[in-house]
Amino acid sequence: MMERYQIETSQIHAPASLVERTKRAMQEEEKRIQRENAADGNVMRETKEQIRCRTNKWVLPVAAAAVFLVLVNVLAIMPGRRTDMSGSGQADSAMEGKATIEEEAEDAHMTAGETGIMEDLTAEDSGMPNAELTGIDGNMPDGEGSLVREEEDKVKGTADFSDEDTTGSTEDFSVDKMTDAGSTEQKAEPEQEDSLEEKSRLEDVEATKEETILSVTEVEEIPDFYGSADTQCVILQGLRFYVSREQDGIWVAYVHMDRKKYVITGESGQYTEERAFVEDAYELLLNGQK
Amino acid sequence: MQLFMDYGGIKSKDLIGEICMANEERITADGAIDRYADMVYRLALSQMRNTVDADDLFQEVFVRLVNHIQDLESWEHVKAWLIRVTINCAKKYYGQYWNKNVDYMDAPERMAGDNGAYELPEEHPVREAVHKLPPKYRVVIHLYYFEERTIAEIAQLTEQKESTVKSQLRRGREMLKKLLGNNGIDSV
Repeated sequence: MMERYQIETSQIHAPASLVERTKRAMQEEEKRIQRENAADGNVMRETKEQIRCRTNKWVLPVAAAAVFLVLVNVLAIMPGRRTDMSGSGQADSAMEGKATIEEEAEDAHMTAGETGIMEDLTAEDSGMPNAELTGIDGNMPDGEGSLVREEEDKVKGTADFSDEDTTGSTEDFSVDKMTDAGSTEQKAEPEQEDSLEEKSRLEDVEATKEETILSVTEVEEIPDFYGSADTQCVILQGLRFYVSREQDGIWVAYVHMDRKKYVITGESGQYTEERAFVEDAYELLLNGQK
Repeated sequence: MQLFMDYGGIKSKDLIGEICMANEERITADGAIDRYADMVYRLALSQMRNTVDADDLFQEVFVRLVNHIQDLESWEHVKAWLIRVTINCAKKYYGQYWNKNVDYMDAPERMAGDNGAYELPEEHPVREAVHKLPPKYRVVIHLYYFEERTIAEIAQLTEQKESTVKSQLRRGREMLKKLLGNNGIDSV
């Protein structure tokens, strides 16, 4: 039966007139499409394959560019992170610096403790006129190489006083400070003490004229030079030091630290700028607190 | 000895044939109508049951081809596309007929009385019997027996499941048996 269906159906052909009519309709459709494409600016319609090829051309470069950008960003972020981890913000660096100085002060204290600090010995105690021993240098055998302070009287004339003086509500202290050259050898081992001793002796002689005496006084009120136009503010370890240079050449500085007000005075012998004076003043403050 | 290899279901000889054809003749709308005009017309006629609607369907299918010819990669692709579009366009034409409760088998007078009928029922009884079938059975019967498509291909062309196509084919044959059996023609 179905073979007959095939035979019957195969006898059917599309009429020629219909085919011609249809071809004309198809041509009109093609022209319409071309007109539309020309109006859109696309003369040729792209096939799917052309579109696919066109898309594939750009996939690889875009992907490569994306990977490159990601790598660049990653590399840019990494150094920044390292920098942040190593050198943090100002607050952190200030804290670290303060801790460093505190550590150094502790070391100096420890060293001085080991070698025997003699603080603020008066001439009577040491048996020598105008003899004072530094708290930094370590061993200072009696009668040998003790420093002769030309400014001893001058120092005694100031408001500073030794530990024995307990008058007043304030407690002042003063420490004679050697030059940097001498102080750097403070942490020498016992085997090198003799050589250091001789070296410091020579340096003391040379530095006699250059040594500076700093004194710290705790005050209750803000000093007058605080509001002066000549006063400069130096920030060190998070502390604001208000520094002024008086007419007689003495450096004065005011600082508010640990809820206390301090005034530091010092000779302007070797200080050419406020920063150096402030640094020594800061060390003095730290040493004094201990 | 297998002279030709299979590439994903496509025989190499077919592939070579397609390549040769591709080299010889580009796929164009005019080429398509020359190749497949009879096929489309037969299918359209089997769907529409009269020549006027079949002519309209035929023309619509090839006009649509003009818009999509560049998307078709081979003549087989063009052929499958034409069959699918013809079936879909036919559905649109008498979509209302799908929902109508019309028993074509019980209304032979309509077939005989249709204007534009180009053939006498007695000359082509099997065709007439097929024309009496519901459209969904008609297309399956035509594609299976005349176009010699497989169940899978018919399922793909009609966008149905293979099981549905099988059942439609079986029911169409049963109905044809009844129709042709009544006419005294040997059964399938």
